[in-house]
Amino acid sequence: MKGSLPLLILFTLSQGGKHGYAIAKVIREQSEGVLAFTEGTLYPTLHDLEKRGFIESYKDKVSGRTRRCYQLTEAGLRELDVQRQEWNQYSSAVSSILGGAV
Amino acid sequence: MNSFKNWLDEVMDGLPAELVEEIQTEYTAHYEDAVEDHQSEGFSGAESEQIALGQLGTAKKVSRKLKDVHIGRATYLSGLYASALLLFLFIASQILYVSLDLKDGSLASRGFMSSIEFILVTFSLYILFAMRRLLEWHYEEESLVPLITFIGVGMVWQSGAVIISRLLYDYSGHDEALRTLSSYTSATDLILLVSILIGRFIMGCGLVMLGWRLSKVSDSLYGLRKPIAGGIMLMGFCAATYGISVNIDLYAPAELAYVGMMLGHAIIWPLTILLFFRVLYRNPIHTPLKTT
Repeated sequence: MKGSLPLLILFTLSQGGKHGYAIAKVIREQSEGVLAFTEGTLYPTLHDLEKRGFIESYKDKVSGRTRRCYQLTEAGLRELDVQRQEWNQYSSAVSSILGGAV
Repeated sequence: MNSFKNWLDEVMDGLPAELVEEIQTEYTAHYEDAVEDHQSEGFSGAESEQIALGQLGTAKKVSRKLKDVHIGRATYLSGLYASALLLFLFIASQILYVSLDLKDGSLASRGFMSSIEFILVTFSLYILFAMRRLLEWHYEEESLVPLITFIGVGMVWQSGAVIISRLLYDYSGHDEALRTLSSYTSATDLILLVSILIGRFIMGCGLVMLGWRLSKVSDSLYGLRKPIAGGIMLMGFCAATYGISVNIDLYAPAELAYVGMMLGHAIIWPLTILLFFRVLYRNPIHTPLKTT
């Protein structure tokens, strides 16, 4: 499932700005623990998305601590649509093959 | 907490100083949040720290990803420019070589050709360096790094000998690499000819091995894996064949191998430009997910 983390991050951030740990927690909880990733690689992925202009960071106070949070940009919203479409095409193609085999 | 400190130190090692504090703060907050969450789930302090650290992954992997984003991108961009310039210089040098009749053996001609060789090898070495970072940091193919170093050594060795040989000796009508070992004129000349041969052989074998190993990597390199691997193997095979056949006085295979090397150049550099471009401007970085 290479390359799916950026899509999940973009989707998570489309629901509102979050810091890194909150993003990891949402992915873990919403997939009911099925999807996991090396959490240390979350930050390079976030920094990469920021360099590409898909997200932007800002400082926010969370539980009394200053945290670096991330939010989606307009370009990120468009990228989310593109990646979601690609994912839907891919998954429906696999589903139709598996469905046909049953 | 000590284990986390060690993990963090290893991750930050080699990152630009101006980024360290901010990235350190991010990881520390993440780790502390995770420890708190695990404690609230009923784990002891030590257990929570251990679980939280395990979830972060190995320091080596995380460090590579951070370097890919914060150092690698600049290297890949300059690698892209260097590949484009090299392609241009390579074509221009071939045209100049023919149109200016640089086989007259004058010191000016030899100096000019040596300068071209120096520039081409400098650019080639830089592209190798950028490719090494790309394979190590972006594609996590660390095992290819020693091969790239091996090729670099061969390249410096043979080009160094070619440049010195060109400047010292007047081989009117000959490319100095197109001379058999028996045609040497002095002990220094012989050493240089042997050096050219060995360097070219090391470089050739290294390229063949790199191409072969590259063809086996799991990532498709944006669909460029096979043509790049093929081009590298062609160039390597021809470089090694060229060196050997010249040495044993077989000019026909040498000429054929020379054409193969030119073809290899024509295949590899445009593909390298394309690969760096796609890494920089196509999809965001690959971060594998796994199902638990």
